Amino acid sequence: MADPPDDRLALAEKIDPELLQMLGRMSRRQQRQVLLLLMIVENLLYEMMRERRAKEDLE
Amino acid sequence: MRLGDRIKQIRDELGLTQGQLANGSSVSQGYLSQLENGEVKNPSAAVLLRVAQAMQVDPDELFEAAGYPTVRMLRQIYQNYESTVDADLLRYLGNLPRDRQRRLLIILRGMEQVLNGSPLVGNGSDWATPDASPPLTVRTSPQASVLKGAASHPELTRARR
Repeated sequence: MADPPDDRLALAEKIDPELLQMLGRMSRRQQRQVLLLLMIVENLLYEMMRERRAKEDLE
Repeated sequence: MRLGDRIKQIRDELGLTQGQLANGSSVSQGYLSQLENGEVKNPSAAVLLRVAQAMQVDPDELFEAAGYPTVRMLRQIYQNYESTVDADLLRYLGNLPRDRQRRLLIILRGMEQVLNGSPLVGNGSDWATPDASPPLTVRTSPQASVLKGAASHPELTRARR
């Protein structure tokens, strides 16, 4: 197999190889669910942070 | 064969002293001695790579002996990843720090264990307590279109900062 282009490798090298391997075993549908979950968690964290800051400002 | 024994074996075959190999791999002789005696629990991949290069052997030999993923295996993962892993997910993960990636891996492994150990795979009932509210359902049909715009959602973008 030919070597992948540098930008592909650069992206892959940013990701934990064991995680990549595990995701590769999952179906595409499950991978999309993982992405959705990550986005929801990130959004929740943002909301929690925002509320905490708002409370701190009130105090 | 243990990592230390393997290094010592190759070094002896090459007729190198510990000092010569230490110099060639830019590690101290004391560290190399500890490595050979199995006193270093988790040597870094960078050190193993330098030692392998100094002995002119395939780094995979040392990685395998140390129980680490081999370069061969990593290359295989990295070469095939694009065809096996969703492109949006890859881009998202690429922006996550390594420690968060490891946390995600731990969560996914935990879920895999739950699935492997449970006969109730797929219906979610093993997660619910007897008096729990009905489980939340996520409509998955519009998911692709939701995700398409989600990466650039202003709140998510802000959260990433």
